[in-house]
Amino acid sequence: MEITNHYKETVNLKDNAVLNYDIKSNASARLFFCDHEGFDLNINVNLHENATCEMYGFFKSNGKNANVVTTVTHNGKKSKCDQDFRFINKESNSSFQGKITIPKNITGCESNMLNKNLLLDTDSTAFSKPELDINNDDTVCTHGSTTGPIDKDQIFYLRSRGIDEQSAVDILIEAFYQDIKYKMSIDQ
Amino acid sequence: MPKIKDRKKIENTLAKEYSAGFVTDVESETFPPGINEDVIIRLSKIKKEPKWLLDFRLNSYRIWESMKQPDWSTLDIEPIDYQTISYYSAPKKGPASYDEVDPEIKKDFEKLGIPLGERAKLAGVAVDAVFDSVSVATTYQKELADKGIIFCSFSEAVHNHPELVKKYLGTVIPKSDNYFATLNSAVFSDGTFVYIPKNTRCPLELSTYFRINTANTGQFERTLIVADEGSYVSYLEGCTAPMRDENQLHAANVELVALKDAEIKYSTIQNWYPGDPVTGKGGIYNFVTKRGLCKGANSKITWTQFETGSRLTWKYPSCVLKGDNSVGEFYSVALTNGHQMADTGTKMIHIGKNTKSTIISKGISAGNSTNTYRGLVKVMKSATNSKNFTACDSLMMGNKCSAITIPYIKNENKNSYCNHEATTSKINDDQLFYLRQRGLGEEDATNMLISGFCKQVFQQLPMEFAVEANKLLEVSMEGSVG
Repeated sequence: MEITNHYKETVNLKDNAVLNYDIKSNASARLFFCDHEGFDLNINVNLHENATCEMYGFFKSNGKNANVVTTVTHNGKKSKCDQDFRFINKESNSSFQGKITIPKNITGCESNMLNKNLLLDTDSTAFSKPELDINNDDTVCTHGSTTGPIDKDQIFYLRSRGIDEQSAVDILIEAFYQDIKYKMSIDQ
Repeated sequence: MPKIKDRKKIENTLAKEYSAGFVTDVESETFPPGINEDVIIRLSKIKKEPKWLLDFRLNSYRIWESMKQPDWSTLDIEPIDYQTISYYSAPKKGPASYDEVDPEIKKDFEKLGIPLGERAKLAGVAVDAVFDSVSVATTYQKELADKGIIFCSFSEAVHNHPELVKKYLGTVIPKSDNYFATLNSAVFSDGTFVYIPKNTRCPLELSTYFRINTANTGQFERTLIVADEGSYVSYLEGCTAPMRDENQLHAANVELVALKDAEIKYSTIQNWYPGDPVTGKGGIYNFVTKRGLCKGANSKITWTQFETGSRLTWKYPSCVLKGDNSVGEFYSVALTNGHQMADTGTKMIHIGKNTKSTIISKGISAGNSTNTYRGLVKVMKSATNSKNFTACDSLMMGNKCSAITIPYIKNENKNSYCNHEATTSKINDDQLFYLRQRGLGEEDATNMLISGFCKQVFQQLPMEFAVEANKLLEVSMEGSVG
């Protein structure tokens, strides 16, 4: 299906989903991924000249594992891509593997990748492998990854304002994916 | 693009040869190429090694025979025929003391600017020089012996301190660790052994220089550093090799053991022959296994490395943070030019409580080279309150080079933090413009920006080395601008 103009759709995915996006010249796409059940997801993005892609995801899994693999290939000059994936782990394991490839002679690209993982209990683990494969110098590329528990100072701050421990944790979890939720809400 | 005048200058500097690429004319005894159990037995016999060490070698060889050369790296390795390499080469005249060292070898090390004689005193560095497979001179042994510090070649240590060698050899890098480490365990020829006794601060910088001279030989050295409780040592390592058209293999093992409250600082300046810059022919294959074990509580291991040479580099200096409150640090600048390829990084394995690690890695790729950072941060369930911080930046010069970043971060502990950040870009045009506007030439401005890029790492190097590193950086970068 050739998509022109503005297009919006919500899709329900099955386990082990593979999503392929081919973003044509001058087009822009904004993709949101959200899940509470835990599953395996493969996202492949192919960007043509001047194309822009934004990908946001948050995954809150209770006892179920979430695995996300993203592969972004910049096949056109001046293409841009932003990725932001956040995982909240409670009795679960999460894994995020992202790969950005910029081939030779594809100049003027910009690509950013961010992965944040929250570990809420001792049975949780997080694995992160944000890869960059850059083959020319006219490129700006960054990636960042953080893994850890909720900041104790922040909990202390809220507790000192009279909020009980559990509510404080809930507020901070909410805050953890607030940016993404906000972006989602202005889009809809 | 630079002006024609600048171009010419660049072409001239490009034509400049690798300055350490001379061959020294020394009569040497070299094994015929090939590896089998007899070669290992003969090697062990020449070195008059005890039976336990021969068994260690033979066991390793048997394991190695059943292994396959790994191919997961981003390097293009031409198949290595292990039967065409000679596994032992030594200057014929064995020296009994420094004065008896073959003048040709002395000259060789003088040319490289390595202080062996009186100059060692001025520089305040104790040096162990390894020429092909054999340690030719170790300076300052007496002064160190007064403090109980053992700093000698590996073969000497096997004879004089067998109990220490036996206790620690292979405890950090086991025999079956990986293909190249196992090959090294089977055929290692010489290297350095350092032991710092309890509560001793080593007064000198200890230093080893490795040089491959003979054609078709591989260098397999083994370094073992043991820092006993409460001690401190800073160790430097440097390497060079002559220019040759064929590839030479260098597979070293370095093991560090830091006991309770001990600190080891290990610095490397690696300047093996990088191969022909235009055709990519020749050069050293540098496949090294380096690992440190923070065995006791509050111990600390710091790796600082500056990699400019080698056709191919494949090394991951690692820290196993076993003791509680132990600290691992890794500072690296890896520079690739011409047809060089590097796949380098570190591993930080957190086992003990409150362990901390820092990784600062700077990669610079120019010419047709590929520069890969590959790192692992693993926080085990037992490593409560651990922290890791990683920053790896890549700088690219020219549109024919590649920069690849592959970090692996695995956190299994709820109370531990891992942070990772990486950037890849070229030299900032605004900064370049600013310096050009102040009257600096393009090459000087670029050099200045690159040395600023590397500053965080060079600050960690001991002073003499930092000066050398800066010079080496300028030489290696020459001609890559524009």
